[in-house]
Amino acid sequence: MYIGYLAVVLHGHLPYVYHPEIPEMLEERWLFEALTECYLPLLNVFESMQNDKINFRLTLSLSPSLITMINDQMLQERYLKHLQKSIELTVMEQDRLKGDPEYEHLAGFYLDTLTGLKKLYELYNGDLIKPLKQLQRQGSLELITTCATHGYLPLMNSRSSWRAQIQSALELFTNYFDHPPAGMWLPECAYAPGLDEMLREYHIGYFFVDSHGIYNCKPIPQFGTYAPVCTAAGVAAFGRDPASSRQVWDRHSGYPGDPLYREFYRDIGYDLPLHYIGPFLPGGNIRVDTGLKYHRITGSGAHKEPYRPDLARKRASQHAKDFLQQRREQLELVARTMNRRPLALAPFDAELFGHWWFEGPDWLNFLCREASASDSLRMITPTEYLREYPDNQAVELPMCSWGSGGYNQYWLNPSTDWIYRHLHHAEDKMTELADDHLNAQGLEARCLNQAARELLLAQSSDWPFIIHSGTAVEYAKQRFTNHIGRFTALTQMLENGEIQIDMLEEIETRSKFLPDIDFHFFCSHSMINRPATARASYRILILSWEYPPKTVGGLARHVHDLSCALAALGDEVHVITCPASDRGIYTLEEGVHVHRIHPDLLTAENFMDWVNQLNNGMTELSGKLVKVFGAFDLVHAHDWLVGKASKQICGQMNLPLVATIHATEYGRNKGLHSDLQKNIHNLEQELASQATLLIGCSQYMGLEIASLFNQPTDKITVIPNGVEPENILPDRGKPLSRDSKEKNILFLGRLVPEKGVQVLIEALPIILQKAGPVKLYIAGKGPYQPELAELAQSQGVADRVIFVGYVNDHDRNELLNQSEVAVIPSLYEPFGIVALEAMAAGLPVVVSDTGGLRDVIEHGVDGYCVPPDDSELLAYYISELLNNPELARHFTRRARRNVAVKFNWRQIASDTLKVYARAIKLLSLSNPNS
Amino acid sequence: MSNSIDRMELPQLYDENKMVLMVVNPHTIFLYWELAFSQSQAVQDHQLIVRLFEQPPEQKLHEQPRLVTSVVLPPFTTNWYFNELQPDHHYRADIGWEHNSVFYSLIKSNIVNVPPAEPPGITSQAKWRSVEQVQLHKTITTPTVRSVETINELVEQMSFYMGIHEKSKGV
Repeated sequence: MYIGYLAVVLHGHLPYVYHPEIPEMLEERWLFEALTECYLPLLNVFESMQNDKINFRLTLSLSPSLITMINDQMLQERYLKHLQKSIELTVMEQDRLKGDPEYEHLAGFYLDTLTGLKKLYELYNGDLIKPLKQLQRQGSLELITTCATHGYLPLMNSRSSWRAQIQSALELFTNYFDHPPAGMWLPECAYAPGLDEMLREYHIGYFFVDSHGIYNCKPIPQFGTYAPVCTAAGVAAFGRDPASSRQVWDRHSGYPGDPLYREFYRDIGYDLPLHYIGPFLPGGNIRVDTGLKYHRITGSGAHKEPYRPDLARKRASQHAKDFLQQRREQLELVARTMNRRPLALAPFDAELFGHWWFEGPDWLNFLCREASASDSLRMITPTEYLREYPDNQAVELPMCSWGSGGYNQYWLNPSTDWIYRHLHHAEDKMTELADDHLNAQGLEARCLNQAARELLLAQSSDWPFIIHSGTAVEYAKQRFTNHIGRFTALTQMLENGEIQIDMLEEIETRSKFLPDIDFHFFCSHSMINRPATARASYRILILSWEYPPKTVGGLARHVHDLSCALAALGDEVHVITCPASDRGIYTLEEGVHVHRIHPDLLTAENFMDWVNQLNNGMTELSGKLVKVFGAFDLVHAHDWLVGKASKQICGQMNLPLVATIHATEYGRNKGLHSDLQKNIHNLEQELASQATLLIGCSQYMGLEIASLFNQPTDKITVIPNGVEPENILPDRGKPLSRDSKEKNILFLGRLVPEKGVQVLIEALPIILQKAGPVKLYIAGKGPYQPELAELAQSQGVADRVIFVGYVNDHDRNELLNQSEVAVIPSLYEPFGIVALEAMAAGLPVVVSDTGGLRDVIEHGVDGYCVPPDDSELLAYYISELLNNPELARHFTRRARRNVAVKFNWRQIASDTLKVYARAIKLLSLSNPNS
Repeated sequence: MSNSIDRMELPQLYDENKMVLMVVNPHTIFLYWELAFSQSQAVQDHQLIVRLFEQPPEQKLHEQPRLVTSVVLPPFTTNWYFNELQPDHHYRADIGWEHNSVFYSLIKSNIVNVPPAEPPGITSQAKWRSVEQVQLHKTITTPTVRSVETINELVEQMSFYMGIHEKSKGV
């Protein structure tokens, strides 16, 4: 009866090094050495075990760059040449060492080894994928992959980079291995919260983290690293077992430091005179490793004894036995405290085996053979483990990596920090170009794809790693610089609309990598799909008293745009709403089923009675809809007006209820001053309590909902309102050719104290001083207008303030077009859609740092965010934009992009679907019988 | 030409207002920034200051950010490391200048969440959750699109609506 599991994971990666422009490149040796010392010997071990019918289990991660280089014809040819040359060297060495009792046998040993590897390589015809696939099919090897260029994910600035790194890797892997991997190796085991969601989207079941990542989870994982944890998105994270790693990795106490093992740092490439060894060195004189090493570690001193392969092999066998014995004892002890079999997970860099630790492949060979015969311990792969134990502890996994220090500092420190501003800029630029060229064809598409390739290559974690570790620094710096430089050249050609084909072609020849790359990976929203947690399609009932063409506030637009976006993502959306004179009781509008209450049902004159009738009508109609369309999956209610109907429908049909609270009566009125307000507040409270989950449009509203209605914060999700990209006006581009020297400031909104127009009027005298003649256009109406007019009078700026009154869409656009800056000086603002509209129209904005507005504006990047109720600072920032049109143009350019990216309906619908999926799951958990 | 693409150079400036905070480890964060040409011209006479704030946790957003430190920048500085911070906290920086004890903030950075440095002090009830099973042989992305035909078919069966087709034609 076995007590526990051992999972050994090897991660194979090398940066993409491909130089067709030079016949021999020093850094190509990284691949050649890895093939000779690590990958071919490992393959040898795997095959020998297969031949002996050993039932072993290993997990092997192969990076896309490594897979590509191993399969590249030019590199294969160069490798064979390299191998041939090494063999020639061993032959020469046999002559040189003839008669030397200590060393002669070593030349023979290397000659046999290298000839054997060459035979193996030729037998495979250079195709190492085929034997690996065979091993995978047979079940002993689980093959996975890592990010496309081993990009260090936590230090990237955009999710689209994550997507590009992950998706292009999965596609490449699938091309070679016929199906996507079950898990992924995160480069440098570096995790950042949120990554799990994306992995889940790509059906990735697991990844690995370092031990402290598991220890620092909230709550503390009961089993420590002896079982994986389950992240919020439902992906398994396996933690490294520190004890197993220490025994193998540790420089001093680890196995590889044993005196009998081969000494890595004594190589004839360094030891022999140049006139002899020169022909086997790059350039004839650059001292490098040849792979011929004749000494054993012996001790810490300079004296080294001759290497004895037979003794080393014996020691490797002892070490394998010792390792297993230690695991057995360790697992036996911990198994007593667990209600399942403990797992020891040992992840390693594949190159440790053979390259750094010459006897590593032998050790692995002995380990697997011993383990397969053991009756107390079994080797396992992560997938097999998860099949046995799909339930794991739900935790919040913090940022971590397996680099020195445990976080990001190996890649972000004073020697490497300069690379990130270039990377982040390129990420932004790539997304911008991808968005602007969605339908690119031919040369343009090629140029975009190559730019994406260059960016991915620049993102490789190897460059900062090499720079920080201090070896091959110049090569890494030049590679990074070349990729950023080529990226910049390509994007400039795209922006100028003049693609020089010879330049493009030449850049393309430098990377035969990711042939199927698709620049659309970098798009901000065209890649948004249904979240992985949602079913393929839901039948959703949306209740809203307003729906276009009837619009009173922003609610109708919101519900309409959300419904359309949900329908576009594959849902069947039914909206029940008020009657509209020019619409029938049923219409199919843009894929959304719109059902309107019959006007005859709404006869009451009293508002609350009318609301009651509306709700009764909705409940009755929903019953009929079920008979025709089938049962709904969920009800989504918008604001308190439909609270009663949603309660009744969900109660009768046992459905989850999601409620969006767009604004609260308390917030709007800064308190509850009348019976009607109190009544409405109670209805809002009831809706909030009734709902399975709640949605608020800003962080601020989320908090207001939580505190006003005493709701737990994890019940509330913040999803912003959106702006339909099609409604965005064309870019204003150059300043308007108006002959007037006066500049216009625009306010749009209701004239009530909480909109803060009084602060803006108080700022006006200062603005006149700082920025010269200006006019303030106030568009909107409301009860506060007389006071505002009076204030303008008393401030002496009445002739500068124009009350435009209510404006329709056309006039609003006209005003937006004729103004230099839009100001939203609100004291209370749940969301602030006006700011988005102004930004979308290409107008620079100054807003109050309050409520939802602070989620909208990035201060100093796409607008200014000023402390509320501070007329002096408001005046300062407005004047800055008026006086510095160049800066204002920077803001508007950025703002238009941010609006399109962050407030995109497809994204909002996808986020809303995540809430739906959660609500449906919560309800099914609360009534397991249904 | 073949040499030029192998000996590229990095752009010096991107002419944009940008300020980015990055996590180094639970105690250290890195800040870099760039001012657009027009922005640096506008502030060339001012001594620039970088301030670091600890942001309130998500449940306490109504609380004010706490000023952690304020650094008068030496000329030509474009980045800064902040050390000895509290793990498991949220931070944000801004850059600006001061006059008559009013701070004129030019750019605000993103907010970073610095990870915890040790296990959480309080233990709470363990919850168990099923890892979403790995699905092999699935295509990498399969966006689902519903065909309109089925919706129209459904509409045909709607017995309780009278004359809907006439009315929806206008849409």
